[in-house]
Amino acid sequence: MNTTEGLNVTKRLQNELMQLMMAGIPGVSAFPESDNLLSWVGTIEGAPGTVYHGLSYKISLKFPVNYPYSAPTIKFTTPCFHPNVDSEGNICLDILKDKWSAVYNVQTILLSLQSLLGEPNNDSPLNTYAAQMWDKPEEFKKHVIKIHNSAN
Amino acid sequence: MFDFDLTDIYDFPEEYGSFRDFDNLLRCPICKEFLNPTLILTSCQHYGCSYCMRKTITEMNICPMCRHSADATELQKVSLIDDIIKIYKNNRKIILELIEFKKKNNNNRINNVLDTKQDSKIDNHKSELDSKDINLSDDGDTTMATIALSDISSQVGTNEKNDTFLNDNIEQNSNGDFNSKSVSNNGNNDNDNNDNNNNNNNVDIIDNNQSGNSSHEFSSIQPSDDEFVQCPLCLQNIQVKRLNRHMDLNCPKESPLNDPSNNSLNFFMSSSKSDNDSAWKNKIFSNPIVKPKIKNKTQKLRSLAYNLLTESKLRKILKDLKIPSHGDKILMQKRHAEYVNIFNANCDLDHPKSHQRLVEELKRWEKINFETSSPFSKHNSFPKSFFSSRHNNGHNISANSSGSSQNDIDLEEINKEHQSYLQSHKSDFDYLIKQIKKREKKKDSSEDKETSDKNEPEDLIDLDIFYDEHSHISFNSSKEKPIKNNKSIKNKVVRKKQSDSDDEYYEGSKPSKKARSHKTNVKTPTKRYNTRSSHITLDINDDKQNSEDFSNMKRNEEISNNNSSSHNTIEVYEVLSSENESTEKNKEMNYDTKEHKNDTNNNDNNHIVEIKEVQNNSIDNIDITKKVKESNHNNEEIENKSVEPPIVLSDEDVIMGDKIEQKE
Repeated sequence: MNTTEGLNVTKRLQNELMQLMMAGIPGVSAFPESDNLLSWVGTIEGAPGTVYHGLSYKISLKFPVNYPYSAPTIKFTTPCFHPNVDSEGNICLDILKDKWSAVYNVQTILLSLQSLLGEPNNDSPLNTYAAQMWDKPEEFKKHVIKIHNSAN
Repeated sequence: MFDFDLTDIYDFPEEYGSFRDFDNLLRCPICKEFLNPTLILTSCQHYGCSYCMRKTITEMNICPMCRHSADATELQKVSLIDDIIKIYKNNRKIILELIEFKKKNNNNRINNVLDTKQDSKIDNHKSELDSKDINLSDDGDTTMATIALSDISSQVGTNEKNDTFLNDNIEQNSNGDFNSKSVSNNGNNDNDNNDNNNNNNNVDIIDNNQSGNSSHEFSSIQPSDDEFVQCPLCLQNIQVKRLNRHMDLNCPKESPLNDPSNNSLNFFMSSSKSDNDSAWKNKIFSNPIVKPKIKNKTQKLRSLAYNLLTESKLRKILKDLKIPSHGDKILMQKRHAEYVNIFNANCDLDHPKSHQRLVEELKRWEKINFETSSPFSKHNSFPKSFFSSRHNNGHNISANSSGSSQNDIDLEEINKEHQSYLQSHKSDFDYLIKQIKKREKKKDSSEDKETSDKNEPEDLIDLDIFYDEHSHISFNSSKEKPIKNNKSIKNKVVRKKQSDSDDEYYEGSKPSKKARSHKTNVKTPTKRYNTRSSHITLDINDDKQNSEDFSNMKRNEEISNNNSSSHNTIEVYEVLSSENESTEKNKEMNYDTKEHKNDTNNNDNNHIVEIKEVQNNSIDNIDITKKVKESNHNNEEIENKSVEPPIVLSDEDVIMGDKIEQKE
């Protein structure tokens, strides 16, 4: 506790960045968007064996100033057809809301999101249409690809 | 100001993974720093820094690790861990040096084995001599020990070699722990030395490792029984064999007569350092850490039931604590809660800070968190409504710049801090950037593809982003970053403009349309995202330059209106919308047709277009002219392809696969 909280957040994010870079986890990456360490962009690649395989999604991560005591705000900037992602890119994931804990970090978030892609929580969908379609993988995949590519 | 060092577990090379684990264990899971001081939750045995744990528990009432409900009263200090960390922190550098040392050692050994094999003199590799040329410069933070070492496998017979390599030249410039000295050795001494050379009064000591012993550089850290070490409790110099007894007897005063070699303590101190290994040992053992602890008598503060307190009472409490007592009740409440955290964490420290410093920290915390002008607080509101808040920020900016000067000062201050932070950590960023570039190169060399998703991060890591003096820190709200600033990332410019134009778009559009866009759950994203892409296209190019292209596109669009994909329709529509407000109605119509088509257009035509798009995607979509051409091209293609037989999904997959390969 040698610095105040406002600086603690930069310090912690700096550390996370370093760890994320060094860990080199395949399929996920993130980096500060600009000179503002509180705003990052990340990339998540769909895991093999899921309908999202081969697609990569950009996300934006906004860290509050009292991070890690409150969760960052994460959004998909690439359109994502997913039961727990709404049309604005907002994500419904418990660890980003009420289940947030200070020990979570960018790495865990990215990995959670990657696994969320393959295993949606259809009980509390943001996109009901996607939730209903989840049982039909063929059709679902068509939609996923269509919406993913609509961005470009 | 930024007095923290950026050590992390990745300082240790991969082959020493257990050190990483060890390092990680001693770090707070929340702030990732070394635990300072360690608190453990008695209920679940999870641990963290004092401040981090207190903060988490006051904010969430749960254990950060297991989400078990927790209370601040369950926190307990573990001074053992703190002591371990202190020792570890002081010696971390040494461990890293030794690892480095050993690595080089191994390399050299291999080399020398090859060398000596060429000499074809040697049949016995057991005896090894370390010839070390150690240059330790220990000045401040930038300590980098450069250890040049040549470790030769030698045979007693190869005297020529010994003469050249047995020169131990130890040159140490350090902040006091090491004396600068040079130890020389005149060959043929292999057998004269044993570990008892500590009793040798000669300052020139030969640093020859015994045969079979040299592969363990650390082994001689273990002091021999006759050696003297500092008692960790009373700091007296005690013989190792007597140390346990000495400590058991509660550190009685040792008489210097007990020293068998009759050396004065002072002399011994200096002579013990003469051995390189005992210098390490000295550093380790002489740590003034494990001193008896003085019990901190400061009473911890307790949190209050704020609901039961009136504003005036709370104000009085704050005044009694000698912390600022301005503001309304909620602010005071938060301030008090934070102060309790800071204060209690401070109580856990071995060397608590003064009240003055705590108040300063508190003020700073408050400034960053609660002042309305704070860029951070604005940032907090940012995520809720992405576009609108961006837009609002634009207004706030103008308001602020004409607003109170105090806010400006604060912003400048924060600005300055961030600048200096960036400056002071330039090397760290540089390092990261280098790492990534290295990785990129590896990937590039393995697969010779130029456009891949992974290259994009590289774009972002432009050095200019971090260090451009002219570019303003993005949350500097007093001055909007000029969009024409070339050095800002493309991406950013694009996004900013895009959000602006999105706002514009929404304002211009009719409310009924807005409502509908919310209703149509699935179609909305398509429309919205296309909006973005088209805007991006527009933004990056000079509008006028491309107006021809766009009109071209429009024409194309009209021609192919009947059989082209919904995608293209949308795009053109959006392009128009941003181009000219007056064509709004036109677009609306277009939009309707598009939507309609979107509903019905589930035919294969659509798929073809998608596939086409997929292929196009691999090309950087920022390149505008290409894009426009492509879309033109696209339309033609569509017309051509629409005659073709339907494509099955599996084909699409194949093409997707191609694209993936390209991407990677």
